[in-house]
Amino acid sequence: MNDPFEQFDLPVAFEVDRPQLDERFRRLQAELHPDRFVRQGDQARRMAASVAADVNEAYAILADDYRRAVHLLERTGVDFDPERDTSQNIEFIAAQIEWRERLEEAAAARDSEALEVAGGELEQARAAARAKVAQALKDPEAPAEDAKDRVLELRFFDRLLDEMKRTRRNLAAAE
Amino acid sequence: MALLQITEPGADSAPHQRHLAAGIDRGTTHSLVATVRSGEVDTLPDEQGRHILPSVVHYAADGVTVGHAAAEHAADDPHNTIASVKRLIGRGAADVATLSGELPFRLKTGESSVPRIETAAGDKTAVEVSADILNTLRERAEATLGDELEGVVITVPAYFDDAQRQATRDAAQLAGLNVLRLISEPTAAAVAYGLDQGEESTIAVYDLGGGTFDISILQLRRGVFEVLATGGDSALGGDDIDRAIAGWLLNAAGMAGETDAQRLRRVLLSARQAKEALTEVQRTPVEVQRADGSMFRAELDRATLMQLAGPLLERTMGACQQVLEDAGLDREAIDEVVLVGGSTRMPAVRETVEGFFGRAPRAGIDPDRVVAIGAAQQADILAGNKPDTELLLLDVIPLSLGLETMGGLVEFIIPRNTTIPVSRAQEFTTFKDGQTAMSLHVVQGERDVVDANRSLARFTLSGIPPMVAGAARIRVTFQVDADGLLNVTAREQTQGVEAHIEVKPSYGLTDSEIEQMLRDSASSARDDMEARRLREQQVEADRVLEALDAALESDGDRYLEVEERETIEQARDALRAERDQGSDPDAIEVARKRVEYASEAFVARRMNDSIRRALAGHNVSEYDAGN
Repeated sequence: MNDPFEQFDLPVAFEVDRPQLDERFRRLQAELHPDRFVRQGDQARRMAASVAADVNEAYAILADDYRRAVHLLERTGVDFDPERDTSQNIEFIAAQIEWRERLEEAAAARDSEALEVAGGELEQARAAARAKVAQALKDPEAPAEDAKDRVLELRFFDRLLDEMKRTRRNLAAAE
Repeated sequence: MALLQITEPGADSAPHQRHLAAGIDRGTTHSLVATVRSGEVDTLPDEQGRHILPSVVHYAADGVTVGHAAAEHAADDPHNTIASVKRLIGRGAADVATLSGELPFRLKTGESSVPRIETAAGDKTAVEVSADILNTLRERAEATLGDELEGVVITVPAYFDDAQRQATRDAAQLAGLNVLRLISEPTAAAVAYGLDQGEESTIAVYDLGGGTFDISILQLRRGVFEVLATGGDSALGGDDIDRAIAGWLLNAAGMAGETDAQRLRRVLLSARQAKEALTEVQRTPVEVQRADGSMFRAELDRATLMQLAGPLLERTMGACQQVLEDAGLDREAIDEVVLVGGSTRMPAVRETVEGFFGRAPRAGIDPDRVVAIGAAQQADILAGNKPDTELLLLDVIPLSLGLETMGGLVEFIIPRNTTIPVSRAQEFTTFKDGQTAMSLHVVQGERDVVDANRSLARFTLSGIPPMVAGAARIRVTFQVDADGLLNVTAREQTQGVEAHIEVKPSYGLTDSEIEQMLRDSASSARDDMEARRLREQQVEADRVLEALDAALESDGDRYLEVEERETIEQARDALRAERDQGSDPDAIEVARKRVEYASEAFVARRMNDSIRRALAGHNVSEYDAGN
C-alpha cells in the first residue's frame, strides 16, 4: 500500500485538514468503489474492491489521531508492537491504574451517573494527551524523543473511552 | 484482472441501453420485488394484481407452492408449510433449537451444521426455502419485464451477521439471481425517501411488521450511511395487536374460554379486518359467531384500539429509547423518522411514534413497499442505468470481527462501523515451544468473551516450522467485500506457510452443497445447467470485451507499448472467437482469464491514473471555489 498521505495528496503532518480529507475520500470512493464496476465482471469488481479497501484503510489511518501518529513515527523508523508496547513513564502508569479503578468501581456499582462524570473528565484528559502528541510530532521528519510514549498515552485514553462506551451500553442493556 | 472502464463525464456516446435490474425485500412475513421502469419505481404485482408475496412455501410430495397458495395450507398441513424461514437463515443448530418452540415445522439437526426442515418433498435448508421464494419473485419480474434480470439488490436486516448475509447470497444464487449488492433494510427505506440527498442527517427507521419489530438509527454523512444502532423485538408485531383485539372481542362475547381452532381463527380474522378498517374510519362494526350459532355484534373505535394496542406500542417505545441510548443520542438529535411495515399504517402507531420523537414521521410511501422501492432504486443505479448519478452508498460493517485469543477472549481485527470494503491484518504468535499448528476461530460481535459472540468459522494453519514460543509471526488478514462478506487468510511470515478460508462453512453451506442443490433444484432441471453456465460465461465475456475495447480506444495509446498492445489484442480476439463459437463454457472462461492476465498491467496503470485524476480534479475545483 502507498503512503496514506501520498494517496490523498496531503502534506505529511499530524494535523490534517479534515474537510479536505473527507472530500477527497468521497471523490476517490466515487471513482473506485466496486459498485462502480458492477457491470464489468467479477474480476474488475474484485480489483476495485482491493483498491477501494486500500483507500478506506488510508482514510482510516488519516482520520484517526492515534493511527496517524503511529504511521508518522513508523515513517521515521520507530517500531510499534501493539501487543507489547506500553508507556514507560511511571507517573503515567500510576494515572492509568487510577483511571481504571475509578471506571471499574463505577461499573461494578452500576452507577451510570459516576460513569458519565468520569467520561467527561476522560475526554478532557484525552484532549490534553492529543495536544502533547501534536507537539511531539510538530516536525514529522524529526519527532521528539518521547513521541512514542506520548502516542501510547493517547492510545490508552482512546481504548479506555471505547471501553467506557461499551460498559455504558451494557449497563443500559441490562436495565 | 479485468479491465476497469473509467468513463469521463459526457464521454459516454454509446446509445443508452437499459439494463434490467430489480430490488427485492425478502421479509420475514412477506416479500416484494420492485423495479424502475420509465423513470418510475414501483413494486410488481402477480397476475391477480397482488404486490405482496407471503413468505410461505408449501412442500407437498407432488410439488412446491409459494405465497398465497402456500399460506392456505398453514392450517391443514402445518408441518409442510414453511413460514418465517428468515428467522432460521444463516443460523446453526444451536441457535435454531432456541427458536424451534415457536415453529410448527419439524427440524432435523445433528448430522450437519446446517439444520434441515423435514417436509413431504424432502429435507430443506432455510437457504433452499428462501431460494424458492426468491425464484417466484424472479419469475414475476421476468414475466413483467419480458426478459432475464441482469441483477438484483436484496435487502437484509441491519443486524444480519456475516453468516446470515452469506446465506442470503447463497439463496439468491440457487434462485439464479445475480446479486449486485446486499443493502440493509433501513438504508433502503431511507433511499426510497430520497434522504440520501442531504448533507448530514440522523434518521430513525421504525419498522413494525406482522411479527417483528426493528428500530434502527442511521447517520448519513455525505453519501455514507452508517447504522449507528439497531434494536427491536423479534417477537412483537401487528399480529400481537390482532390477538389483543380478538381477546377483547371474545371477552365481550362471553367466549373467553373458547378453544375451537376454527372459530378462533375466524375471530382473529375479524380482529385484523377491524384493525385495518380503523385506519380509514373512526369506528367499525365487528362480529363473532358463538358455538351455538348466534352472532355477537359490537363496535370497535379508535380509542378502544389505542387502549388495546397501547401496551404493545409501549414496548416498541422502550426499544426506541434503548436504541437511542446505544447510539448515544437524544430524541432531539433525530432529524427524520421513517415508517416501514404494514402495521405502521395504524393511526395509533403513527401518533405514538410522533409523540415519542416529537416530529411527524415520513409516511408518503406505502410502508409495505418502501424497502423494496429503495432497493430497486439502488439496483437501477448499480446496473448502470444512471451513469450520471452521484449517489454512492458506502456501507459499514454492522458487527465487529475478531479472533479468539488465549483465555477465550476476543482480539478485534475490524471494529464495527468500519467502512467496507476493507482489508486489515494483524500478527499473532505461537505460545508453546515447537508449536507447529495454530487454530483460528473467527467470531463476530461486540463482547470481549468469545462465547458471547457469534462463531463464524474455525480453521487451522498447520506446517508452522518449530520455533521457540513467540518467535513465529503469523499474519492474519481479514478482507470484507462491499456486501459485508468476510474472507480470512493466515500466513506464517518467516516460512511462508499459508492457509485461506472463505468464511462460510460454520453455519453456512459449503460450495459443494450449493452446487448439489443447484443440480437438484427443479428450476435447474428445467433450465439445463450447462446452458445456464454457457450463458453466464458469455455474459461475462461480453462485459470484459466491451470494457476492453472501450479502454483500448480511449487509453491504449497512452499506456501501452506496441508489443503490449498486440499481446492484449491477440488474447482479446481469441476470446471473441471462443465467445462467438458459443459452445464451451470452460473454453470461454479460459480465454477470458487469458485476456485478464494479459491486460493486468494496463488496468493497473489506468487505475492509478484515475486516482490521480480524482485528486487533481479536486484541486482544480478547490482552487476555483477559493477564488
